[in-house]
Amino acid sequence: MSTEESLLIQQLKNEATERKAFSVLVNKYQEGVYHTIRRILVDHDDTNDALQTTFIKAWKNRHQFDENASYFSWLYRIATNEALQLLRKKKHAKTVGSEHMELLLETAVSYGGLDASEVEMKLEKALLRLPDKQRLVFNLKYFDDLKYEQIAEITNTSVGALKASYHLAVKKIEDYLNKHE
Amino acid sequence: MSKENSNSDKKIRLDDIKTKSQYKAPDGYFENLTASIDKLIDEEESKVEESKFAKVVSLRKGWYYIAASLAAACVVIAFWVFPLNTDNNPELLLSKVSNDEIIAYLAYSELNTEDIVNELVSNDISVEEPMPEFELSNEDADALLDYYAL
Repeated sequence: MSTEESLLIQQLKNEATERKAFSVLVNKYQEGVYHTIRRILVDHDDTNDALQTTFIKAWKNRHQFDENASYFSWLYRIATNEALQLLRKKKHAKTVGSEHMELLLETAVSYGGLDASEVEMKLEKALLRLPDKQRLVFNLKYFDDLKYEQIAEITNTSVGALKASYHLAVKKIEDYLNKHE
Repeated sequence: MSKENSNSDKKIRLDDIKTKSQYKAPDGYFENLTASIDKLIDEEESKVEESKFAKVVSLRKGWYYIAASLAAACVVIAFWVFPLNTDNNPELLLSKVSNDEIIAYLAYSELNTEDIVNELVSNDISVEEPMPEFELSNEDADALLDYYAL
């Protein structure tokens, strides 16, 4: 953790400075967290809901955060849990299936929410066919370029299991790309 | 292997995709996000304050119920220990107190007329004795109205 972030965390634990410190942290992480959630939920409005809930939860649980841990990993764990939970709810309510997700993807492209070439679009469609948790692991590694150790902290999974999951995801994606060439 | 076969056998690999697509948020979204989160936190904090207050009130209510139950239990025990036809019968004791003393006590207590009326209504107690009737002649009534400039 950088000195600047350590200072912010100390301020977050102090009643007199907590609000200001939290605003700085929101400002620092909002874009990254948004993109990670958006990759899971695809739709902007759903992403906005999950993002707001993430920051509210981070605020409400600020006293539970361990000062020695990584705030980034802690925040991303809340965010990814929130996004997966929302997706599960939608699937349970049968409002979301892979066809619906594909429709959301095409809507995003139509309205300029996603700038993707033909091959990138195929990759996006292949991703929607992965199980949610595997898609999350793939996204964090491939798009967010995180280290396995960081992903392990976020997802609470062992590095070995993550590596296996990522390689399996790559194989499934390549199979899809070759079948839909 | 012919060139054609070699091309058809060539598999697409993930590494062949050199660029990575990126989702975009609507214009100006991030400029307003910190302020929106701030507002949500304000609302959350006021909810926390309200729930703290509600807890205190409910705790107090709880104590009131406990106190009322204890008082009721004390009354039951008192009636059991001291039967009704002894000198400790409250009605008997109260009958020994003169009306003037009761009026003087009520005058110095913090009870006002409204409290007494509310107590009577809530306990379904009716005042059986009617208000004393009195005769007032027209002349006396006019004189009173003149006196009070009504």
